[in-house]
Amino acid sequence: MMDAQIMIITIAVIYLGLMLGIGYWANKRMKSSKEFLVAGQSLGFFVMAIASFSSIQSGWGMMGMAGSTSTWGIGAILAGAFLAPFGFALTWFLLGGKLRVIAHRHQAYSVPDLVRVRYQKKSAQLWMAIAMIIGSIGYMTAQVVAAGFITMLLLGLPFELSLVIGAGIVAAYTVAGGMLAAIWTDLIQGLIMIAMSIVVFFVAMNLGGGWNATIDTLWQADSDFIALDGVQPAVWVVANTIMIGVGMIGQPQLVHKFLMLRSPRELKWGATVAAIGYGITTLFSLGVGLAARNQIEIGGVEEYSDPDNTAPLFLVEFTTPLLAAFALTALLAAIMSSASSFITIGASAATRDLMGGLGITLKRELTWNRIASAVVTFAAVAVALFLDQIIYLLGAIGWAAFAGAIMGPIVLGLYWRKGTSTGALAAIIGSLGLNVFITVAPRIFDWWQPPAQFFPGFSVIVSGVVLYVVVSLLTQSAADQEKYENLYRTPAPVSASAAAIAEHIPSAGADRTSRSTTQKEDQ
Amino acid sequence: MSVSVATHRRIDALVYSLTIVMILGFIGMMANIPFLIFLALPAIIAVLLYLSVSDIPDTTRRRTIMGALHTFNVISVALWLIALLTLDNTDQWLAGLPASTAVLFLFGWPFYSVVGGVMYAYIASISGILKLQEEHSEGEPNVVVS
Repeated sequence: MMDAQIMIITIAVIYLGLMLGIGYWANKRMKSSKEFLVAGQSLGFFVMAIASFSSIQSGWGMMGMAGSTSTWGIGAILAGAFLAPFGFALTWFLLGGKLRVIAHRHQAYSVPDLVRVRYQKKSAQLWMAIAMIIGSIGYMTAQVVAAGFITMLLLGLPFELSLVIGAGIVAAYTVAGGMLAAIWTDLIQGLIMIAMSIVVFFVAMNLGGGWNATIDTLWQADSDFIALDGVQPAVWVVANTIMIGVGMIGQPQLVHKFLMLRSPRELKWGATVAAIGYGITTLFSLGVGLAARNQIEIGGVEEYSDPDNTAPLFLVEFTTPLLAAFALTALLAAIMSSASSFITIGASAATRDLMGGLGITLKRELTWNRIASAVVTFAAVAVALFLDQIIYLLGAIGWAAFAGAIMGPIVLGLYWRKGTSTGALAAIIGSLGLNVFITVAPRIFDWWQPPAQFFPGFSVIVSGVVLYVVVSLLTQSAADQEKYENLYRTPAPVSASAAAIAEHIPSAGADRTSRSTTQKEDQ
Repeated sequence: MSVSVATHRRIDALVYSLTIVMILGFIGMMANIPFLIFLALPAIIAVLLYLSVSDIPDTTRRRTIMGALHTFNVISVALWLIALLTLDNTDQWLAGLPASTAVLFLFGWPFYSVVGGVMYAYIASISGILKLQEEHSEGEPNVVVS
């Protein structure tokens, strides 16, 4: 057993060393906040596509989903992973080219930046920044809990200490290398996840005698494990499916990738690559979840006390040490690839957008980004130590927070000229407030008794869209439609000197427009 | 990328449709009416896909694009309709799974995962939209600067 643990730790340490090495390399290349926040807008299609799926496929998706599949059966996969690959296509369709155009013409480096150029309202930008910070911390919480479980298993340390160590390593390479490091580590992490998911799926299915035998055992034990209307009600499953598939369009870690593209031509095959990559990595949670439940039903192992422990404990107990080491490394990769994106997104929202919205201009923006990255990580660790939700539900809170705030103001706002800044503000604040309420209400209010099929995340997304559309219709103005037209109006010819200035002072254009629009609004 | 009045009306209709379908899906969830939320899902997907191509000008290419999207959406609705109609059916099985699970898991999953991305590549290719967007992405910020 000692040899097995040494092997697992050795492989994990080599992997972590590689990630830190990339952080160091990126740190040496880092010259501006443009490189820290959007990797210098230099990404090609393959790197962008793999980084997109790996930043979406997280500790929530692999570790949390394996646990929920083991508990809820195949309905968990239908709820949480079935429509996710299509979510990439939907995002490419709706946002791909438009965001690339806006990012380059308006120097937009973040989601609140997009709100600024679309609505030109300081308060909307400010609230979107707050939504991004809260959502990042919420989503990060699911990641650091997952990292804590794995570190605890690897090092045999108490959970709280393991959680801090796991979060510290992610923070180290992200703080050092920003989005440039996050992108390149995402690429490597994505490829590791794909390879290990295929291997683990077949090993896990083989353990139960193959797909048919495994399914048959589950059917004999409890038919609910393989039914659409099973452990969880069918209506709950479909509501969850909508939240994942449609909510994908509102995930800033994905939206951000479009701001980093070298050219719109790089978009063409990105959705296919990202969708297939994500679909393959779902095999991990499908295989481990069903095989673990199969082992529980035939008495091969006792029911795990915490569903979140399912994946790491199953791998250690039922696979070889070498495979367990690589598979646990793949889980770490899933956690880190998402966490690094969220640290950067949260940091950018705090330093650029929140401060910009408050009228504060930061000098040495790169340094402040790094400080904010550390603060976001610390906040996620603090929340993780005080919340006792399972990983899957923690992740759902963050996912819905982003989708609720972004679906209306950004996704619809890029197409719909009647969208107003007041509508955007209502959608951001309303969906954020509802999400917080739904999360804390069961702990505070006895009267809060939603029906069994109620799925909070779907409700948050619906509230965001409805508020945006209804409030926009009630607050129509010619000025708001003019702001929409400004997004796409044919630009004036650019002079060589202006291009040179924009190249060397990346945030200059953004700051100029931000200040001018704030002045307009104040008037 | 100027947009015609007709296109704006089309976008208005799609935005209102999305809002209504989402509300119906929410009612379906709260009142536990599978019919409402099962069909809300492909309807939301359809509206969003149509919205994404709403500003492509009315040409022969647009009709080709709409044909591809209509075909995709008909299959999408059919999958969810079959899953809904077989939800309580325990007599029909496929690959060891009940019919409602099997139709989504064995047919829906690969359909959405692979066809969605390939359809984007196809539409991006025949519409020439990526080339157009590349041309429009150059230039100075055009938000008014005082």
